[in-house]
Amino acid sequence: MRRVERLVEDDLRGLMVRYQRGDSEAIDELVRSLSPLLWRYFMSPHISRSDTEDLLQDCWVRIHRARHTYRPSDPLVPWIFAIARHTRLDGYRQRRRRESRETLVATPPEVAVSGENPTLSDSTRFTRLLQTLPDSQREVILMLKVSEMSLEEVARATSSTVGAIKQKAHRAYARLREIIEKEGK
Amino acid sequence: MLAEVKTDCKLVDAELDKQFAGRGSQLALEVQRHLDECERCRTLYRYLEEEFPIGTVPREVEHQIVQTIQGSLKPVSALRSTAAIVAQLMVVFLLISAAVISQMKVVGFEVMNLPQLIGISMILSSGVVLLALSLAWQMRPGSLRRIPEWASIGILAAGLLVGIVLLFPWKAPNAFVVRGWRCLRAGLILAVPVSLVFWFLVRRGAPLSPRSLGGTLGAIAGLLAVTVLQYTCDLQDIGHLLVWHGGVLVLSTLVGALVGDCLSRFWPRVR
Repeated sequence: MRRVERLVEDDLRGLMVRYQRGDSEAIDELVRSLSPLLWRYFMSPHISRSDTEDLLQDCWVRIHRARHTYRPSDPLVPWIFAIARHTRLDGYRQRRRRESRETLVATPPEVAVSGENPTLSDSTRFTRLLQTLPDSQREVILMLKVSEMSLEEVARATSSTVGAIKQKAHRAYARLREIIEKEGK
Repeated sequence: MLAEVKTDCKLVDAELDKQFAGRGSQLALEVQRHLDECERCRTLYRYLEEEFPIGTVPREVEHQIVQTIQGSLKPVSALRSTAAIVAQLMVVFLLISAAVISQMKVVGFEVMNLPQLIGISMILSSGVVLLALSLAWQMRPGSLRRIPEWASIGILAAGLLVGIVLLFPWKAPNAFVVRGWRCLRAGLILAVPVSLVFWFLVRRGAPLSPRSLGGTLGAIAGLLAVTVLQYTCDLQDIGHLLVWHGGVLVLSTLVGALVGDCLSRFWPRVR
């Protein structure tokens, strides 16, 4: 279930320490290992592909600026996602400000997630279901499921407590059940 | 309205908690039985169990990120541990407050009785620990925070409120505004440079919420001012302590949060 752990978790901390020491190969490996997870986290049907790219680049710039605050004794993924979360929030605020000043004169740009499809896979259906959740619940499920973090890691990444994360997850499950039941009827 | 969550459905929630806590194991018999019977739980469980396809990042984007970072790559020294940062903040708090108190008449010590002195000192010390911990957690993204930052300030304010009400007497106000304003002004004047000293100590961190960091810096500076006032002020009654000394803490916290918020809006590099 834990993809990052399976792939490189043991190496990630080592890479991060090498990155802090100024090793250019380490940052290359880190970007290639972690960007797909961050990309998945930033992707949304409401965000264009170019905005997703901007978010990813902005996130790495922030990670670079804050790299000295990472301690090898701590898990790396929550540290990365705490920064990613704020990048996403700031990106959302910027888009809202920009959209409030813009007028639609052309077709909206291509989105990072494909829309309707007659043969929807479970993951696509689930992605659509997630959009019906309130932001705070969606974020928890995204981190738990899509980014495959543990409850404690999500608590660290969202500056919250494990109890609060469990509560949000349970509310999200209840809401998802309700929608699944409605769709089934 | 949320769907009715049956007791057996909660078994599935608990199972998911276990899996997301990294303790995934074989499904318990009762959970498996419930999944066989309840279609909505079965569908939910299947969605959450299924491997989720991770994104494919365009090569040129990854390449651009790596090039940008490599262009400014140099070795950095890691931030000290949370315990070391907390200790440093507490020592600085103690040194500044002792230095300021030593320059003034310590009338407060003479006016307070022993239970009042011990009680209020314990509350003030606990407040320093709480705020120092909060600042240390905020300096490092991804810290496991036992207490959220605004809760730390809330606990401190509630502690002071209860402590003052329980420990100190109510006296009829005498020149309430004139003497109170003197304390408030002195406290705020002291809080300004003190907040700059604490900002200097935490500036190497990477706070994700400048508003919270500003509020906490304002609170710790306000607490230091309250500490100084507590031991140097001759008016030790509920009304004066709550309104004028407490006012220093409230105002400095609010101003700190406002400054943090403004800096993050008009000077984005602060993040």
